[in-house]
Amino acid sequence: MSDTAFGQGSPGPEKSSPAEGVSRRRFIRLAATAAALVPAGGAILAACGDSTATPAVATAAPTTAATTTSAATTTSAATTTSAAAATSAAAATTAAGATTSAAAATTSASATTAAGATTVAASGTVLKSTIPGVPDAFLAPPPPFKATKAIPGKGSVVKSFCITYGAPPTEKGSNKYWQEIDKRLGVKWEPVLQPASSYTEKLAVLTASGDLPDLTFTSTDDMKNIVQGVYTDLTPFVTGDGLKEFPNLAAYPPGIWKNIAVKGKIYGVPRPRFQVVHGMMWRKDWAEKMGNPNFKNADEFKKLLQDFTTKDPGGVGPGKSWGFSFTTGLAGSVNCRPIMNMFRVPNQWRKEADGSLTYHIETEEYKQALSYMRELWAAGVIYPDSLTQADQTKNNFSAGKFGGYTDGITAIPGPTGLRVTTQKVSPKADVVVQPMPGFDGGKSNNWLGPGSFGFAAIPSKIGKDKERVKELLRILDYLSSPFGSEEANFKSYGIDGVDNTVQPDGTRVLTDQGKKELGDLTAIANAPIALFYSGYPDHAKLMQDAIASLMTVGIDDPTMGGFSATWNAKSNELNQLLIDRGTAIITGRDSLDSLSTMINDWKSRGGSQAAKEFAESLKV
Amino acid sequence: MNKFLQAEKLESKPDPTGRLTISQPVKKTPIRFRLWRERWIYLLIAPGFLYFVVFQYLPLLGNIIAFQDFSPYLGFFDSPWVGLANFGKLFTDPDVGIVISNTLIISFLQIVFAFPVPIAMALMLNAVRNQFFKRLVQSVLYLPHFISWVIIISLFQQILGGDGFINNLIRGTGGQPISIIGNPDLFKPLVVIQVIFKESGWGTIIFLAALTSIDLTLYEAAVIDGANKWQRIWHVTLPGIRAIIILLLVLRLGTVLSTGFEQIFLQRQAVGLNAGEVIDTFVYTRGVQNGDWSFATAVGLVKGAIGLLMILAANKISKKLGEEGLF
Amino acid sequence: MYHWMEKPSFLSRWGLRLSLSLITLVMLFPFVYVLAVSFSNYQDVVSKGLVIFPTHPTFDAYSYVLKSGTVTNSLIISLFITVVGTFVNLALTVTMAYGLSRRGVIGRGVILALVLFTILFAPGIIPKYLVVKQLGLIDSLWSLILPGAISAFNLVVIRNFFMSLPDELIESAKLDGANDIRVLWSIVLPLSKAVVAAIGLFYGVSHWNDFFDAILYINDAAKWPVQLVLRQFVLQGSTLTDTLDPNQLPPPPLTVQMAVVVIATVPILVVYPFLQKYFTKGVLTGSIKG
Repeated sequence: MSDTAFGQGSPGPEKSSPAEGVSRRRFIRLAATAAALVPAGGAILAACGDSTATPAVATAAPTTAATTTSAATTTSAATTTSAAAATSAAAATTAAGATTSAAAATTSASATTAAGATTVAASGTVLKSTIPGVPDAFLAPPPPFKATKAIPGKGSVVKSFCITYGAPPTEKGSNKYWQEIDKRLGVKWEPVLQPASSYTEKLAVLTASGDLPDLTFTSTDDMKNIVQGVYTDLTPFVTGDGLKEFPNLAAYPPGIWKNIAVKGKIYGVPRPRFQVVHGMMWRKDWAEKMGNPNFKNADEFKKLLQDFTTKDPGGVGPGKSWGFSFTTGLAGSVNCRPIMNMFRVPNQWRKEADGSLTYHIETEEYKQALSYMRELWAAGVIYPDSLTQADQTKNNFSAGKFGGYTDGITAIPGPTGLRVTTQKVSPKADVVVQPMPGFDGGKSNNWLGPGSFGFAAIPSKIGKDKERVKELLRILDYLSSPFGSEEANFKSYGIDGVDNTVQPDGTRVLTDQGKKELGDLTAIANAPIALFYSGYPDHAKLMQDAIASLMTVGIDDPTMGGFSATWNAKSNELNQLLIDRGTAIITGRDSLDSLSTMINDWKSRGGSQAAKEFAESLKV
Repeated sequence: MNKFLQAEKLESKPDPTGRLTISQPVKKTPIRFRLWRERWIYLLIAPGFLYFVVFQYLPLLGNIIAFQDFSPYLGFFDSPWVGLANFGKLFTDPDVGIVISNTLIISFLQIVFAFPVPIAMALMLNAVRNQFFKRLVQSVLYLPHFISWVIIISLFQQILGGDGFINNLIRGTGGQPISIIGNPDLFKPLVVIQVIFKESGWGTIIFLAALTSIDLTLYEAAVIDGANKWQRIWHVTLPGIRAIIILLLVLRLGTVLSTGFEQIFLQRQAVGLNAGEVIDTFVYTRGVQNGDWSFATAVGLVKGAIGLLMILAANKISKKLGEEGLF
Repeated sequence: MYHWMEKPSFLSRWGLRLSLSLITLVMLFPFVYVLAVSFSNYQDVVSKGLVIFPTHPTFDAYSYVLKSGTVTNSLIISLFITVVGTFVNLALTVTMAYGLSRRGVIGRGVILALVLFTILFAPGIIPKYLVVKQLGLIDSLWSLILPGAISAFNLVVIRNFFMSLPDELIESAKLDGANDIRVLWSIVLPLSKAVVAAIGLFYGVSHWNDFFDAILYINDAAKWPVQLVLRQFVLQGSTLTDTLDPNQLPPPPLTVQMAVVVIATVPILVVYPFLQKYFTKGVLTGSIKG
């Protein structure tokens, strides 16, 4: 992905044609694209998060573009508690500043009412969640309220560095939104928006040149530099009493702070995401047509997939559909997660009673899951181009080529989600996130993610000034204002009447100007994501139900917040080993017995060492 | 001769020796005279030379990180030195054998099968007399070069894949689908065919340019000597572009350990590492993805060193065969 | 058609035409596909798979991309980089290649070896960034031109051509009193139009297609070249999902992706026909005799 890596001695990637050699740099470009391709390639990792313990800036991040981030980068930033409280007048809010919020809510509510037509009873617009980790669902936006007390900045220049997935916004001189950001944040806001495909490289050159900006978006993938002290330890500011200064940050689910800790210290402000990451994208209408929408175990699931393959569920003629598709490439451990879940394979690691760690591939459950997938492959129910389609998985699903595949749960809702796009092709399609049964008729599990996507860190050079750190945190706090607040509305939709038009029901729709101006200018922080899909209120409920059912069987990766130097250096290599050998076993190239070789190789190449190191770090 | 040339002639008078000694053995001329005589040449070389110093050699010093456990935060000076550990890591890796053999096989197949295609295409185009047709064909041939690998691969998939055009045709007639894409045995030929498809047309450009430099009077002479069409190609056309063919071949050998990243990266998963992992994808997983700059650099140095050996050997062989060689 | 050519047989003429036509059709295929998809609607793209003709033509994908305020601006920036960059490339490459092609120049071998060395050993991105930064080029469009001012590969190719030119031509000009700059300009270049055009095309295309340097050296998104801006459309998938008016959905990613390919490549494809004349006819006829 760099000169160093690929530029070396290569006038061109393939010298079959001399002209290839024209630009040595082309290779680098290719390499750089690769990272971008993977995501485009069907949201492999995104879909499922990365199989490593932490989200990777380089790998998981770009992928998330396709799915998880979309909601977050732009809109529905909302929080579970404070927003809900403000909306539903049930003022039992835990967030600080509740009183102000409530008050503001009332006033601005009346304002909107005056302007618009409908006032939906506040309590009718929100479906409150009772399960921790399951967000509230909004059928309509709540009346705006204020979530911050004062302008966070003190007039200085604030540079930031953040990953971007969208087209760049128009330049500041002609960008009203950007100019307004300066006013509302009270700073000169100078973000560098970095395309996802080469985030790692840019982060490395900025680190090496000592040019890291005030707020730098990074992740625990940057471990080596983090451990060496490149970023300020924010632990005193974001734990205990320190956090009270930042009410919106305080409203984050507490687990996500712990999950980004490195050796017990917190180096940044995470961008919250759902903890439930992946799910089985499923044609419920097909399952109904085949007479078994509520399949209860592995056998029934297999039968259903066979029916999908042979009984022409889509009505397009026989031989044109299959049961299930792997998501590009990662057949071994990652993208068959729903099937791993059926067999209750542990989430990466299992913590044993004595504190030691067992990797999931070593377990009997994994062996069963692998054997089952091998059966499915042999039965011909898996889409034959599962492993090679470059970026077509989503399209092929919408086209009705198979009945299920794994993706991020956020691939379903909204106007560009699978539910709608599939209906464009088959109007009767009913696409859902399918909760999987246990293989034996019992419960399945679900592998939960860290609940965040990277974090905004403050370089240690800048962190020496405590007041500066607080100012920067106040800015992040502002940008983390909950869904429905004035701040969040501004962040996501720009200036009312300029960047968006406020609809009678309180939703905001971006104007052409808004589409050009917003970009990812304020994407460096966001509130916990609320379920709200403008124009598709039923999707919010659907998603809430799906998340709830997956959350109740969710299990954490026990190594989250742990540390292993070996793992940092080796995880990609080890992961590739599993994927490669796993694929070979599933597709029948290798026997099921070769699983033991795979486990031994995994152990000897660093797996055992990593297990020890993680276990050691978790004892503390 | 125009005024400029005349003025130049006058100006150059103080140094008559240089011009007179041109046909004499150069060794006899004192160095400073030779330097002075070639002053314009050095003037012409200087800007390019400066470029190489500033933008290539200065940053090339950074490759010392191959001997470090480099961390961007600690930088070039404070990162710990690890000696040859990164090279050791490369050569003790359990996969390194299969990776190198895959790379060499794919490279070899490309040199044998893909390298000559643009030459053949250029010769065919050269034989076309209808200028309109010739230009039309030429303009189309280079189009695939501009289409990214993702799209090219997806097209191959849609035609040859398990759910592709051909297999659906076979299924339609009640036959057994054949496995082409995702079949480890066919992976390497497939990769080469894709390269031929995508890059051959683009590759013809340089040969077409070379063909224009052949003196047409040579053909005339050959006709007078009674050479037919094929003999003319063999005795006039090919020798005319021999120098560039050899040059490109030698340079290609220098990069024998590079096979292209994106194309293979996108397709290797389905066929497995034993069939599809090459050095560039290997470095990606081992080095780049982990932010292990040192390891990636070390592999780069090894690739460069092997390329250097290949180029030196190829150069020597080509000189023995009576060619100019590179240097 | 030259007087010494015999009239080709019917068979060989049509055999050649037929085989070239076939190759052409195959090579044309991906581009036709890209064009067709870019003008298609979602249903067709998804359900038909291999689209080669837009049954329900639509410009949605194009208007979606071009509506973004930054695309037009980035086209201008790419144009600047390509034109100025290619000029700088050619100027530096041609002069150096000429210098290294003349025999008897002291140090020629060493310099050539140093150049070839850079084909094999490339600097890493971190030290390169530091050099660009030290020169004060960060956020300047020159950072997209100067660090790649010469491709060693192109340099060696051009030099190879220069060396194949008849020595007598150059020597006689020198005897007439021309200095090397004059010789290069009035004798060598006119005889090397084809290769200079080819190398110019290589440079131009690589400038036009480049985005990686911009990713590293350009922080100000207003200065992004078109390839970088357009790539973001492909990556973003459905960023604005929730803020969009549900009645005005963005076109499906695949058609946008293909429209992006078209927008990004057509400007550079247009250049080729203008260069083509240099590739089609010989230049050396009679020059030696004359």
